[in-house]
Amino acid sequence: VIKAPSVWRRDDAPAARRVSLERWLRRIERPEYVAEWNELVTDAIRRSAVKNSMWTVRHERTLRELEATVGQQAQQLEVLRSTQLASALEVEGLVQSLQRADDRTAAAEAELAAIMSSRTWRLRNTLVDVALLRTLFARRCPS
Amino acid sequence: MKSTRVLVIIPTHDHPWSLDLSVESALVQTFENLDIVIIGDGVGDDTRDVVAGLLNRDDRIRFVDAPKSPSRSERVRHDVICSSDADVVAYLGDDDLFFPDHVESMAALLDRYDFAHPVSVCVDGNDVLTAFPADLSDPDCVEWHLQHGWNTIGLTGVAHSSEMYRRLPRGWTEPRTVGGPITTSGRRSSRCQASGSSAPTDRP
Repeated sequence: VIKAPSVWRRDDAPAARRVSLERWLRRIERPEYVAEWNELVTDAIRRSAVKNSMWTVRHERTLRELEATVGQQAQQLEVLRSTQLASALEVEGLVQSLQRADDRTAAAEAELAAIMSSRTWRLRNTLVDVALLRTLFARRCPS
Repeated sequence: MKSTRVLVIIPTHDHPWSLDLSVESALVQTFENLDIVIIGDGVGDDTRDVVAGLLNRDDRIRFVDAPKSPSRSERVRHDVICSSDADVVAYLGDDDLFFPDHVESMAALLDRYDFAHPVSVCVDGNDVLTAFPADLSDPDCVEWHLQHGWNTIGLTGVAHSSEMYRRLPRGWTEPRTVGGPITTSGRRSSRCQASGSSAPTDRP
């Protein structure tokens, strides 16, 4: 059969496509054309085989290169995993240090609160509010 | 061989400029015991005019003027095949050509096989041929087609026995997605492709 795919001839006007198809029809009507057609098909299959062979060789080489890269990438992945583990341990240490610092801050705040709620501190606040004493303090401690 | 009757199905939509040439290539077959059914898939008046001329030319031609289907008139093909008493069904695109002995070759192959196809060879605008070799008698080739949804065997030139078609759980159906990698006139269901044993032809 003769196949004239439309997708290959989108740029051709219908009239031109008809001329081409009619030319093929007149050719294949001649019994002696069979031998010529067989030669054309053999040549087309040969070209297809060559193209497929080149395609296969090219892609096999690409595949081999990719396989080699896979080994390198596996090593890099291993290194990255080790780094990730070390980093995780470091982060864990930092988190523990932060927790200890938080604990110390909380203890200091509790101690401060205890001081501020003591009688001594309340007496100090009362004395500070007395106007005479404030004047005396101000004279002794000029700004 | 003499008693074998062949149904040639030619689906068409908008190729009035080439349809008569395709039909002519079917009419001048060395195998004469055939019916040609042109399935109009939402054709215009220009195509109807061409078909009218063809109908006057040979009484083996029949025309089914159907409204545009969602895809490529698969349901109408099914109805045409089911209502036919032909032993063999062959397909021809409306801008493709049969060699004069194509139907004879297919009918001979279908004496032994259920499904036959020529080597797929396409011609471009510069008359350069490109071959897409495939062989459905090779299980790997069948698997390749079924697995990837690709198709190197176009509708034109394919032929199968009617008996095989009737054994299929379902025949021509509209594809789930129209378009895609298969560019021939429609797509057979995967069951249909898998069910038919196949044979390469001696010549496209």
